[in-house]
Amino acid sequence: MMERATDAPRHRLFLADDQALFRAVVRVALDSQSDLKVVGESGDGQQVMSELRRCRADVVVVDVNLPGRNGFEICADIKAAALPVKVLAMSDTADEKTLVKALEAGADGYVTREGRLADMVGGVRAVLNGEACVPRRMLGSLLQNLIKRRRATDHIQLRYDRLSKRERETLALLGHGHDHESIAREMVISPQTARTHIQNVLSKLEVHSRLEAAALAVEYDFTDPARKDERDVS
Amino acid sequence: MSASEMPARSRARGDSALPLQRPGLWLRVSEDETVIVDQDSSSLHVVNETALALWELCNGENTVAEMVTAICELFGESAAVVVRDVEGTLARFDAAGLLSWTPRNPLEANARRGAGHRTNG
Repeated sequence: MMERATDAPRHRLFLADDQALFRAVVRVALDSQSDLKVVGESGDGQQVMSELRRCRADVVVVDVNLPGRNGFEICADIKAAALPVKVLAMSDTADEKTLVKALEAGADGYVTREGRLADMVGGVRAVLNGEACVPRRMLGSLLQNLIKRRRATDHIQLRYDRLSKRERETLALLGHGHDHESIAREMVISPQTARTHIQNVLSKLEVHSRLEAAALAVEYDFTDPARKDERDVS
Repeated sequence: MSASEMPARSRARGDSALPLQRPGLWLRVSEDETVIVDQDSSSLHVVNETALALWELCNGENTVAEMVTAICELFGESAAVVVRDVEGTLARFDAAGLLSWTPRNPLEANARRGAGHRTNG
């Protein structure tokens, strides 16, 4: 049906969920709002990105367990492609790990299928307004999670700060998968000196293996010491 | 967060105390509202969703600054706005006698403060 020219612009929504009946119910709920309009839907995760580009949606409501390509992957795809689409991730039940994973993947909000349709409408409007949308009973635990994560990051940073410049370079190379011989070549030092640097890195970071140090380097973005040092200075 | 942005309560305590729910309180959660029930005084305190989240963080482990930082991070609000809201909410909890404050381990406090310090070398 064509929109009348006099109609106020409605925000364009896309539904990505593998249950056709659920999509139909949500579509009715969202279309009944004067400011919202569902412009497309899909039950196949592999089609979502192309469909989003085609229908120029403002918001996508995406099931995290969508077959083909799951909601987390679609979140990441949208952010990587810099599509101007807000993402409202959806799961069957409220689950803190899923919520954190969705936010980390780039979701702007999170709703549950078990929630009220009014919550979904509110969630769509919240992300359209640039607000975080989190089920209210999960807010406290999410904030606690953020606090714990911040503490862990600060603790790691304290240990990283103990490293000398050369040890930071060594850690970065470990993060890129180098062994002591290739580290020696890259840093133009002897293999024995490379071993010493590695031992110092393990000791100061309080980790027990090169693999653990490498994983830490990747997780906390210590693989580019020059960039890290610039950030610390700023 | 700078010292001037810290809530008055936290400033007054110099971050040496952490907000903690007083014993003898429980939550009554319904579809539309959440209420803190104070059995000692037989009083009820209705809390909105943000206040509820803050209430849950009052566990004697989190500093006020950590609460503010987490809320800023999640909602993208400025620290000034969040500090005012957090300070106001904690002040209301305090005025209603819902909070006790637990001393903070000074060694831990120093370690967390040190985490903000950066050196290169």
